[in-house]
Amino acid sequence: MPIPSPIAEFEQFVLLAILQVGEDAYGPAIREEIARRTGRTPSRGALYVTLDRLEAKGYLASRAGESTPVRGGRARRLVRVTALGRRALRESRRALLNLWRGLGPELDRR
Amino acid sequence: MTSPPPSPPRAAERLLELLVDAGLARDGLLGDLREEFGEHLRRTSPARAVLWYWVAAGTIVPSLALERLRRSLQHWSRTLGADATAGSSLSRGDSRMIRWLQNLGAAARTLRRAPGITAIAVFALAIGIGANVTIFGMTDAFLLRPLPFADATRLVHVWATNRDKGESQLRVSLPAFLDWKRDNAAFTDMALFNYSGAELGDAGEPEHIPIGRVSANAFQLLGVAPFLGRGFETGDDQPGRTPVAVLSYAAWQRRHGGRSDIVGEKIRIDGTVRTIVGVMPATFAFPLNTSVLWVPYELDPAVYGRDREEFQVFARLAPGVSLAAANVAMAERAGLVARDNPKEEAGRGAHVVALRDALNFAADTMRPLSFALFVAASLVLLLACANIASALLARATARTHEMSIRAALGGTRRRLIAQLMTESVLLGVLGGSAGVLLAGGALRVIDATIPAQLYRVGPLAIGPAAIVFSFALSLGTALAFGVMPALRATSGAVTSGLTQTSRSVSAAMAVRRSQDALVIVQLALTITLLIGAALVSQSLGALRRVDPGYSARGVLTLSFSPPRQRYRDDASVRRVQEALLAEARARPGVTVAAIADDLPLNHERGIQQFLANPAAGATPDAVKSANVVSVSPAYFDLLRIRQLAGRGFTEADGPDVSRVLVIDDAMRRRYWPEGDVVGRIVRLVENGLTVEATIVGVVNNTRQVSLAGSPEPTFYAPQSQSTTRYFRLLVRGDADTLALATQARQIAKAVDPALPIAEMRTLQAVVDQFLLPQRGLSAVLFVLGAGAMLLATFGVYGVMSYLVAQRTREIGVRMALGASRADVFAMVLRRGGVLALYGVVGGIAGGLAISRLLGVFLGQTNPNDPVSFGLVSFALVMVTLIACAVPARRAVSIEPATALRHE
Repeated sequence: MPIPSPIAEFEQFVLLAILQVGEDAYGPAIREEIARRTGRTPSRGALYVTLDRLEAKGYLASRAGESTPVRGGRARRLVRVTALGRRALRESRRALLNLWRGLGPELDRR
Repeated sequence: MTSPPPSPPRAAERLLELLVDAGLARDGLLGDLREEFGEHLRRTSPARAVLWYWVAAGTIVPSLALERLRRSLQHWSRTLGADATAGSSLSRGDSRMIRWLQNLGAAARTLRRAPGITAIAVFALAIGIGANVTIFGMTDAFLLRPLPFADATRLVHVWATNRDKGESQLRVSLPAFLDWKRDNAAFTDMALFNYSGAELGDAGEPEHIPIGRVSANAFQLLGVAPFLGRGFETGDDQPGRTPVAVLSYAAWQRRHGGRSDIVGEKIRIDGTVRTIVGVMPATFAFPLNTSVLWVPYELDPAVYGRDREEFQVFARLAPGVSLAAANVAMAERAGLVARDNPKEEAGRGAHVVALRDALNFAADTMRPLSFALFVAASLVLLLACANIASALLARATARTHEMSIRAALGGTRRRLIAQLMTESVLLGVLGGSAGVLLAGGALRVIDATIPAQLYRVGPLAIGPAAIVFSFALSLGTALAFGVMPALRATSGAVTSGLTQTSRSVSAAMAVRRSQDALVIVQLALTITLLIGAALVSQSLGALRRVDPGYSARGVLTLSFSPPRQRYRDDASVRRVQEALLAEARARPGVTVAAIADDLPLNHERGIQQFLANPAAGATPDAVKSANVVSVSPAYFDLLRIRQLAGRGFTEADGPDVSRVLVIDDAMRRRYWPEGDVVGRIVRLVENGLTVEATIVGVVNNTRQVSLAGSPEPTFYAPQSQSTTRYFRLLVRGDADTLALATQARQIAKAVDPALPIAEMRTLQAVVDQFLLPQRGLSAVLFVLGAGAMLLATFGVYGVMSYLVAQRTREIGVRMALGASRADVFAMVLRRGGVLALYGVVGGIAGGLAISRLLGVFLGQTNPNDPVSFGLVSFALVMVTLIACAVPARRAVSIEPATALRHE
């Protein structure tokens, strides 16, 4: 079983937002989800580049959705997080929690 | 059902499509954007929606582009990490290109790591390449670039010659030209031209400008169509036609603001109103670069008889006719003309030369000059190569280890050499670029020094040909200095790999021998150049020391050419001369004023034939010739020419009394070595007749045409008896020449406000310009010699430092065994001395060769002058020893204990 390579913060944001959106995750929905939960709207360029990169790493898979006239006949790219992606997220969470352990009061002091 | 929404801007979509591969990724992105676009469309206006789309696309494009770049870089580095050929999707050419780029990057880093070596190498190359490009640029403009005419190599100039007098560049009369031209199968056409000056503009503030006078077929013959309007038409050069003129492009731009409606305008030239019929193209230059406009002759046979030999003839060779064949044909034709007109054309022949050689009247000086300079510049470049090769060689030895590691890591020798050669090429290109900048500056200086009248094609600047030349030179040099060090650095690297712990003794010996050879080459080349410089400057000094027989200091000269329209005959010219003299003498700053037709050492000479002994009859053998200058009485006094016998001219020697002459000592010695010459009668040959003239005085010799050799026989005639339309006013004053110049302008204005001063120069400037080739050559050789010496000093210093560093251990052992510091010092100096002696031997051989090459410019100077050879050699040995002294001191300061731990 391949060991997932560490993922950057924005990559985590994207993967987590996809999980939050659920079945119908695609570009604008993911962007909105990140904006709603973090308070920062990511740039479209960064989002689409990251989607490609995560798919190349095998952390997410995409399939063609409906192609409506509103979309000029172009299919939606619906994405879901793969098992490898979930493991990578777990790994990041573990590492982060370990680093955070006991630091709550330390950080809140000021 | 709603109607389909308007589409987003197609251009923005295309842009995005470029950056995203077709497929789901592209559909997803563009579809999402379209969806959002629809939202904006619904909420705002179509215009706002389109604007939004562009902004959104604009923020996405950079991210996508950067991502693509990152991916391709990753791809490249992976491809190169493995072997370039194994499973690569890149073509062979691509991978070669990438490897070259990698090499280039590595080369730049290597050069930056050794800034000292790089700086000296670039400096050396800049001098070497700069010198070559400068001389190439000069040669290009004056001798190489094709003349700005159609099929210019077929254009020739036809001189008249006089075999009896040894004259080879005579002008032609109109009847003789027509005789030459009639049914002449050697040429497709023949035309007339002449250098001329004219007064431009209305009376009051006339301007004297250089113009070209031509026959009507001149432009057709040259094959150049006018830029605007028309050229001259058949018949424009016949009497009674409407006077016309054609402007040069520069004059059209500068004087008429480049107005397109210029054709048909009137212009006043020499008092005649002419219609401008055309403008020539910017590149057209004939017969001078400075010719402002052209006017057709008025070829009236009644005016231009056989006595008026004032035309220059140019022609286009007929197809299949060579220059030699044309010469034969013209000699025959001129012979026939001479036979039919024995009175005027006796002894006449013709001589056909390439038009370029006739237009550039300094061509015969410039060819050997260019060649000599090219040789000198090549020597400097060769030296620079030796210098850099020597430095790279030292570094190559230091890099054997690096190369071994690279070889061990799988670099083939070919690739290692390619890497090292890339460094050399980069150095070459850097040095070449610096050299081109240097050459550009040098050419500007040269442009300011060389008279503008000297015919050139295009500007005296770096042209496309010079760029190509310098690029080729840079690459060639890089090969020259790079190959040996590259081979040396990689030899053994591949075969013995890392097992070679340190340099083998034989390899070190080989490097040292190569380095010694390179130092000797540098010293020899430096000595060669400096000997050349010393010889030329010695000859220049000798020429400067030659007593010209007159004093040029403080004399200002002004040229006048009173126009025929207002000054019809000799008498009116004499009147204006006298008025100028009277006005000049009345000025407080002027002490003496005089008139002369020609200036000494100004590349102009009047020659007159005469019978030295009229009693013996006028057989062809009895006709002699000498330089003649037509002067006013005060001329001798003004130029401080001494009276040796008899008298000078006086006001009494007027046009209506018997003709008188003053001869110089050279003429007296040549023709009347014995007895009293004053009072002797000679007969002057004029227009086919002879006129009696009495010698009234003898003056000291003056240099009219040359400073070399013995003075040529010269005699003087009074302006009042042989008046010349083109003349100079010479003034000497007690004030400085600047104040004198102001006075001079007022003098001319007071006499005739409409009389233009064609030229104003100090007599000293004339002499200086006469020596320009020697001065220029000597200056260039000294600059190159100094640069060479500097480089050679660096070279010697570098090699000796390297030697001392390499032999630190050996020196330590010697000192531990009892060698004194003096012994060690002497050991290093001895090594330098031996190299210097070899260099001297090579340099003297080179000096003997270069002195042959410079022969033309050396005049009386002994080309094997032992003093020059000796001094230069001695100086170089001294410089070499000084360059050795610093490393020698370093050797002396070596502590034996430390040295023994070395390595």
